[in-house]
Amino acid sequence: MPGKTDKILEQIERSRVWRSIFRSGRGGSPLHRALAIQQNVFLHLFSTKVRKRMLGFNATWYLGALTLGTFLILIVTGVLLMLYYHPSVPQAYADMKDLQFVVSSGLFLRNLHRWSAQVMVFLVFAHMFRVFYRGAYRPPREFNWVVGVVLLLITLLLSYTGYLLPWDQLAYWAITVGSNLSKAVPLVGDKIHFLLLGGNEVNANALLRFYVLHCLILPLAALLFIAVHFWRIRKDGGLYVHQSDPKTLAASKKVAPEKEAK
Amino acid sequence: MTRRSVAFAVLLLMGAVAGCKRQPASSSALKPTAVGAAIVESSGGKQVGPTGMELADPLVVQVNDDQGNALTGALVEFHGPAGVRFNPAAVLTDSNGEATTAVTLGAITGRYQLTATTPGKSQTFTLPIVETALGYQQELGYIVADKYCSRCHNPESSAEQVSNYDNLEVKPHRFNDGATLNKMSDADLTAIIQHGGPALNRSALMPPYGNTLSPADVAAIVAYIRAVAVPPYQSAGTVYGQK
Amino acid sequence: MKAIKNYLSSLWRALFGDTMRAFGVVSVVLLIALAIAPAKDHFSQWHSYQNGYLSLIRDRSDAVSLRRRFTPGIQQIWLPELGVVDRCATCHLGLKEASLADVAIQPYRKHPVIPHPLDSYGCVICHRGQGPATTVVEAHYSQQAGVDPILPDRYIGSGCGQCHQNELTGTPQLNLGRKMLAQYGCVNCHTVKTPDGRIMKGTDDPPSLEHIADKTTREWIFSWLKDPQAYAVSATMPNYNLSDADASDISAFLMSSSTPRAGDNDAVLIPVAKNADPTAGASLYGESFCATCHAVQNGAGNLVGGDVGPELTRIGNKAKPGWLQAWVENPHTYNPNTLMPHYRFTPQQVALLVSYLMNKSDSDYGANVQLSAATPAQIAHGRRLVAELGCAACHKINGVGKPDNFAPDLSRIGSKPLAQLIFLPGMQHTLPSYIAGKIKQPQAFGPGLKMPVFALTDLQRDALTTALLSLDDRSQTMPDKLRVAGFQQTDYEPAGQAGKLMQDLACFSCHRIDGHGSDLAPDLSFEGSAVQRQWLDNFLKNPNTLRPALTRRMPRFNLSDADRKILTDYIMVVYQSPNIDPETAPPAVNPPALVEHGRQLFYSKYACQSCHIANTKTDKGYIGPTLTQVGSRLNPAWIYAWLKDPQALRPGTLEPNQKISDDDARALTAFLMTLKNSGAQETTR
Repeated sequence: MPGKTDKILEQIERSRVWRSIFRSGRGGSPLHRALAIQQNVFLHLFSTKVRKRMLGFNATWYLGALTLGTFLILIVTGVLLMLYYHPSVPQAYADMKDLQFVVSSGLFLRNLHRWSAQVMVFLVFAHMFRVFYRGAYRPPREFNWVVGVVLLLITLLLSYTGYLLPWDQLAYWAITVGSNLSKAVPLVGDKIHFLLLGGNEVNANALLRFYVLHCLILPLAALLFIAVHFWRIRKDGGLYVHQSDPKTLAASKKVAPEKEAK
Repeated sequence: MTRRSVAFAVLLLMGAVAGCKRQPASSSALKPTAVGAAIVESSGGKQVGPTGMELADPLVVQVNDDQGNALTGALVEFHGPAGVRFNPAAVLTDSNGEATTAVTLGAITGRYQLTATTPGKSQTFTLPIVETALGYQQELGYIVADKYCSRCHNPESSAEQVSNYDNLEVKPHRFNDGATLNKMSDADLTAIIQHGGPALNRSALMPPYGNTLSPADVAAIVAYIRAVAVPPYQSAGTVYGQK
Repeated sequence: MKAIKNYLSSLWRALFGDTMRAFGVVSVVLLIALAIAPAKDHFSQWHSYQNGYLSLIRDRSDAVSLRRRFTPGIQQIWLPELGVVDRCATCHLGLKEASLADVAIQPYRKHPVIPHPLDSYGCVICHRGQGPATTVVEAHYSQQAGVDPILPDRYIGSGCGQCHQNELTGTPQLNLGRKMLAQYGCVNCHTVKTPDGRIMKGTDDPPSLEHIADKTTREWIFSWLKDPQAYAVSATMPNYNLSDADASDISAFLMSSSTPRAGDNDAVLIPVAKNADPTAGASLYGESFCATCHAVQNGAGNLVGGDVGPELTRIGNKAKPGWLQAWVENPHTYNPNTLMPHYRFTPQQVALLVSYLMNKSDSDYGANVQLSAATPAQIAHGRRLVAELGCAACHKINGVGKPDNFAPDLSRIGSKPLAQLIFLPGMQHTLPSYIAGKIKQPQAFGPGLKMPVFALTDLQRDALTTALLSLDDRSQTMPDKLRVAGFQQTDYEPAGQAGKLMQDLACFSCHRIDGHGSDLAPDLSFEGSAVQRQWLDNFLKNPNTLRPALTRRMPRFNLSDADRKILTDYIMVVYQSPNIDPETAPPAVNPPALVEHGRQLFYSKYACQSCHIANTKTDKGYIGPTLTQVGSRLNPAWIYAWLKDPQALRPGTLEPNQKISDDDARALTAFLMTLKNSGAQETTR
């Protein structure tokens, strides 16, 4: 009985509990819909209205959104993996074995985490190419490009630090090679190497340092810069759609001659 | 591409795959020059050895023709249950009519039924051979029994060890004397080893070993006795036979 | 084609035409995809094995109790001290079920009876493999770093050897392999630090080559280097596969580097007496019990004799008569550390033995060896070869020092990572097959390898591999309290004149005293408590057959009375057991009633005549020593202590501990002390 369900729902939404949680109340009016976004701590980063043309596939191929999606998968799988992982030297490898053999869906979790990481790096590069080739870095969006580059670096660092965590032969030697590369930097190379590993060689200290970097410092930095990235998208006038896009041309013809967003 | 051509190509592929079926491993690249009429064992049967290891003596079988003379150049193949290895598995008889192979038993304790076959004019002649593999406990029992028991219980003397068997008024049973020992329960055997002959109203010439050998050693001796008994203990036949 | 295209496009529209619809379809697909992982978890390999086990036990007679003891899910044995996590029992469900002894299919077989409970030791310690794994391939065949595949069961003794440094009855292969490591001189080149901290020492006693020119000819050295086993089948020296030129050069160098031993140069061969019995030499060889230490191949090709000294089958081809004479007279003049005793032979006896031994030759051996005189360049080349091949690692050679770190350290060879191994084509890529293959064909693994080929049977090779596999990381790093210590040779040497005599007579070549010596002959650490002085003196004069269980006999050294007295005094005074108190011991002379009681106990209750002869007319038992003279041989205190607990006085003795009560022991001692020279006299052999 739809009518009855509606009535019950209305009653719930008018109750004090509901209104104390969801301050903006219920409703389908533009005001209500806008308030639902604007008054939500998680969503108010985004604007309450977006232009329809920005939602098209051809504009962005959804690359940025997909990147965010893989990042969320990585966070979720990563946290679940953290429940089973000890960042200490003999135990780390044993934990990977346990994940493979004992933990329910452990192998799936680990593989999903690893694949998502590879996919995210690919998507980040694809997104970067898209932005470049479509000119979405042009003023006023220059600073956002810089933020994007910082995010690229953070992504690569996340990948690099995560690589060591299984503590198998592949991890150990990859990080040995990579950290030895840092030694080649003139003047401060050795110091960077020492800072990176927390010592002079890849051992338990390096593992712990990489673990903290991978699970705490770099994700926090990433979230920070993602927030800035999204805020800047909004403030710079929304997603950039190239002039040559047919939908853009059609839209610009239809709409009243207000200036395109800067 | 038309549907027809696709279907044709698929059929062709299936035919090719079905056609090149894997060749069965040919029994040998050996070409026998004679066919025998009988196959007998020369030596190397009824051996006892540890699991997974090569038996001390090679297995030697002889192929005879219908006059009973040794035959050279006949093919002899050896078969056994999974886990048994023959080196070689197929061989031609030599100038003495004998075929020799080294047998490595499998990993399971027990009696193995092996066969040696030779193709005859109209039928294949089969020779059954039984070898026994001793596991850890039985092998331990063998070692302990060899040190403490075999001087009296084994009538055969060697250069290294003279048997005491003939010096005893009451003769002890050999350890593979299944006819007598199979009738005694494990508890009986353990009692007589640990407490001597008087435990079962037998001669005091058998001393008690309960204070000299640990219970594990005594259990090992009993396990060894059971493993080598002829006729076999618990006459369910071969414990580990050919499929 | 068009129809298919239409169909596909309509399908596309149906599924993804509408955004909401697309979202719904993708969500459903995602949920299905997400369900795959839990489904794979549920239908895992171990799950199907557990189901197989349940169907196996369903039709058995004790199905109910088997079912009750079955626990589903992953089973694990966790031993943090040893770093062991074994999940083998997840699939191997029948390990502890005694009633499954007849099941022959894996993974449901019952584990054979072993001395250790499975729950306290796990599986991987003995069997190797990847314990934490729960799939067949990963558990049994994985070759990742730090993980071995399952060990073939002929090497299973290597697991025991990780903790047990002592000799166990149940590990004959391991014991043999450990003995071979020392006996074949492997440890002269390869350092082996056993887990209890000792460096393993070789027991092969390689002779010094400093004075080799006195002993033998260059032609013999050449033939020996080309094939040691052609000279003596039991030679432990390996074959270096030398070319003729190399062997010639090395032999030239060794001859030229040899210095003369003082005293040999003026030896004149003692002639054998003209009226000597032609078999006198052979008789003397037999009476002196040379065969206790030396082996000779008889006509049938069997080796008869001991392996303490070199094989003498072709000694006539090798030794120079002058050297042999000096040696038989007194071996210590040539080699002060030799294991051979100084027999006090008369000159005539020396001549007989030398002529007998020089006849032991093979005219075919070394028949075609013709060596031309060596040039200095060849000698220098020989010296270079000797240094390169590492001869000085075993033999003392003038001018060539013992090389350091000549061969890889084998203390942890059992854990050598696969990534560091080279394999020959056709070899299985596992550590045991590498070790066995390396021992068989050492130089095939690369150019410039120097390890020689040892003449070993497959069984000996497997034994050696077992012993080497037991030297792994775990054996070296495990907590000390888990280790079982092995017997360690001490370097005890007796002092004073007796000590010098014992060194001269090489008593420690056969006997063990206070932990030093060999176990070929009885341990003499408490001999003073055991025997009576007069008997010991007589025995040293004329050693007779005392113990039938021993196959070797003590030689007669023709000691002078003074020497004998020194030895007897020393043994009687010094080699006393602290546990045998003569004050509280039974007396030597006892009332006849007690003696008679003892006699009855001897014959009826304990039936000692099954192994011992107390009266040659009635008894025939020939396992233990004849007791006809035991009253004049042993002390009553010793007899009493022996009857109460033989293994405490001589560990490993065949005499059973029959838990004889104090009174019975006293009676038996009383009876035995009356047995002094009854019946036939002990003949001297």
